[in-house]
Amino acid sequence: MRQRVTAILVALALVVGAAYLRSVLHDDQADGNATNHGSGTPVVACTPDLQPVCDALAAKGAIAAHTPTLDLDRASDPAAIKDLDGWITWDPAPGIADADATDRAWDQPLVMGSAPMVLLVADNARPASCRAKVTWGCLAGSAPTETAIGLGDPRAAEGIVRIAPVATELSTDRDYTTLNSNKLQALLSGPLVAVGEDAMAQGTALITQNGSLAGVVGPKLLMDRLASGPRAGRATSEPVTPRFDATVVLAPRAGGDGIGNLGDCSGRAAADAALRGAGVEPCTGKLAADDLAGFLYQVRKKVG
Amino acid sequence: MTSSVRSTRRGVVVGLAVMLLAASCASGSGSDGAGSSDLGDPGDCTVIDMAVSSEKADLLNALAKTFNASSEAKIGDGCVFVRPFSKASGGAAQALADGWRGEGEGPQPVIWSPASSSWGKILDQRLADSGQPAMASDKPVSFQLTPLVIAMPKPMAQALGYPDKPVGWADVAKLATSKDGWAAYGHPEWGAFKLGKTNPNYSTSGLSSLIGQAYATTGKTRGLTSEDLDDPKTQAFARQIESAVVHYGDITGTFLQNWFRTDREGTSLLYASAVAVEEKSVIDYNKGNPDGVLEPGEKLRTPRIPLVAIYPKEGTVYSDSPLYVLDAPWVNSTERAGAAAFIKAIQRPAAQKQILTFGFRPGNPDVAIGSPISSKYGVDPDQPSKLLQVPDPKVMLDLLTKWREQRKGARVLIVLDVSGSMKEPADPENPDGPTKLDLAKKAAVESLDEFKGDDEVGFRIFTTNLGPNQDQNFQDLLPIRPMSQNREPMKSSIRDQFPLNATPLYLSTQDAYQDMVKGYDPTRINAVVLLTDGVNDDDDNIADDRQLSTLLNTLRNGTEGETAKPVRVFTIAYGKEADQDTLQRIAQATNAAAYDASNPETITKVFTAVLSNF
Repeated sequence: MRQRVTAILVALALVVGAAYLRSVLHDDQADGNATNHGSGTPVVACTPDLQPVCDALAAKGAIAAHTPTLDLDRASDPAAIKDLDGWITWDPAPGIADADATDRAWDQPLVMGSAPMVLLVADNARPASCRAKVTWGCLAGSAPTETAIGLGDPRAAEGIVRIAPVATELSTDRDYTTLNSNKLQALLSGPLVAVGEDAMAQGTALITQNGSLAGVVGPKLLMDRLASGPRAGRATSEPVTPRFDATVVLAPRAGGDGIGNLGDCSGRAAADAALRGAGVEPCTGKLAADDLAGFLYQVRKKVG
Repeated sequence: MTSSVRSTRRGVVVGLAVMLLAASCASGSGSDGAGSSDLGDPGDCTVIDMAVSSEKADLLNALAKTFNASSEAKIGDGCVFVRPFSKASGGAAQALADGWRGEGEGPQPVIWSPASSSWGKILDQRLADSGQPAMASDKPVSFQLTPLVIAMPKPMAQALGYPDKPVGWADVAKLATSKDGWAAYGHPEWGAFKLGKTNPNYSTSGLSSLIGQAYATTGKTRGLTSEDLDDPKTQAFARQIESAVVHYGDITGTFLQNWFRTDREGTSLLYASAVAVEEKSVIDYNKGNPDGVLEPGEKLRTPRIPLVAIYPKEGTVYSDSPLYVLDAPWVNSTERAGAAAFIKAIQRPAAQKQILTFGFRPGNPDVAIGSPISSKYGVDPDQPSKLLQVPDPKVMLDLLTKWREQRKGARVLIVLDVSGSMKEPADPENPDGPTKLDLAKKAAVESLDEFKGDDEVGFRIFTTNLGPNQDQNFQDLLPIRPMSQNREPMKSSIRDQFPLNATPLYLSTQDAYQDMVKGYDPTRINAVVLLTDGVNDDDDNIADDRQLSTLLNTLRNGTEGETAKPVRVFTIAYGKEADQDTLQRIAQATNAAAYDASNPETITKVFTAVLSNF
């Protein structure tokens, strides 16, 4: 009996000790890191162009107030992501980052929203090769000396997904060994506005700086908004065939503390307006085809 | 800019924040820059000093005033106070490259908004060349836009086919080298084609037109290279265009004001055929406000002959008013946060609509373009149709180096007043300090390096009782010769001068002008640079009015008309006693510019500005 009581007391002491140790460690972590693990609110990073999505979620307390920016360049760096629970980005950026990482960095992403990629085209500067109908093939075949098309920055998550359909056209069955990287490089170095600029910046340049770009590839809602704004008549937003969807995802960090109630649409409703602002319809879409991440990983290596 | 995921202890963050706050408060309260007085007192707020190009200084002051009074200026527990001050883009780029240490530069800026992002590239290249980190590397926000255009009086543009036929730099080059001039277009009465273009080392319009010219020969719209600039065809084309230049200068306002004044006299078509300016300037001119600044009580007067904007068919560049939050050692995190808040605020539609009223195109696509960007003011909101890529920084510097060789040569007589009053102290409160002549000599010597080797320059002094018989009003100390021969002797000769007698301003100016007309060289910019600190004083006061009247008539008659041999007289009114009104009339009579150095301490800058005309 005495032994049993002693064992219970030791066990209780161990539990109390463990609880104390845990609270000390948590206090230290709260002091030492920009995370909110102690409060149970996930710490989520966003790519720079999706920062308003993080801001909106943080404002409603759905994620921690500290919302770092994270792009492809550091998304596979263990030191850079160790304090994160998730990353809001464009699919398939987590897969590309995983291809770069020594250990798996990101778990299966959750779809937050999507939209077809379209072309915002200046009314007075339509590429000659796309007069009849706009296809990814005609954009890939347009002469960069004649026409500047705003594609993305291959080093950025937002950019590589905008490049994806054109790069697909410049290869056979997404086999990177068949990619015409010289042609792709020429198209990417064509834009008069900086290559590093996102769809919003390039679309704004097309609208506000006559003669800067003939077209900009971007998600439908964003391009529609630019085309129908107060300067309507400068450009139109046109579908491009075959349809290619851009998808915003939330990728949980592999080994992270989880993403709380962000797993379903209702838990992310605070971000709906920001997602539409980024050009996608919330709670729609699906993950990219399995082979896209590997293909874009190679594209990025070749032209990034 | 991406922020990293940091693991910083809270205590350190708090401590750092306290230190930064203290530092920012200190820098704010200690700032004694030339902020606009109508902005009021910053109080305890952190001051965000902002160097802006002159054409938007009034606009930025208005926007800053609104921001400073708004809740957006509250950052954390404190507040920020944005304080813009006017600073020419080229001058600011150089001052930043030098660490912003010079006297009279104004306070060290947190935000820099030159007229064009070309200047940001030039700054970073200069810093890189001297082994220093970049200051303008972050992608800047362009909150307003205005394209470079070739402004032409409407009848002249129509003679070239405007508005139906595209016109460009190729047409300018063709006209510039045509011996028939405007006669080839059925207008012999307009004489030769004359182009106004500012100095690209100082002026954004000058720099942008240089980019446009360089691209025009290559047929490219992007990717201009140093090899392109070395191409003999490119060089020949540049020389053709430069050959038509009336004179250069640091601001486009000189051309626009001369145009406006001669428009009143009915001779504007003889002064200049085209001037490279920003679209905004065409709007201001056609509104009747050629300098873009409406002084209290100033009434707008629509010009008789309006200007129209030609958007070069080869393409053009925008002055994009970038807002750089400088990566400079003097910028702290509180200032950076305050700058970001201001930049965000002025992109909102309310601020952007205000921008439109100033004649700029809003950078926010959610604000429609409307009046005054319209044909009513000679501009076309649907143009330009082709945009040129701003070249890489190294190419930009090569472009400027090449321009020094290609620009139109000058034939200049420097005329220096060595009258007795030049011995007075430059600063009356410092009688032991340098005299006015000391500072003038220093400025003249330092600025002589602005001339290129084949510029022909002479040096003359004037005062009464000169010469062996003490009966001359001037003395030529160095004849007009190439600067490759004259530069060092001239520096030495200038240093040797000392104050003498009276100030025979009118007679000396007349003599200098007539001597220059006798040796007139149509392939060069012919000019007199006249520096004086006083009023006409030649021991014959009775004849003063007659002398001045004769002088002005001589200058005007020689400047106007098809057979004119325009010799520009650029005047510098030096010190508080100088006769600024008369010097202005002399400069205007030759369609040149009068410069004000009433504060002798500014003479070096003024001298440099004068020599930017060549």
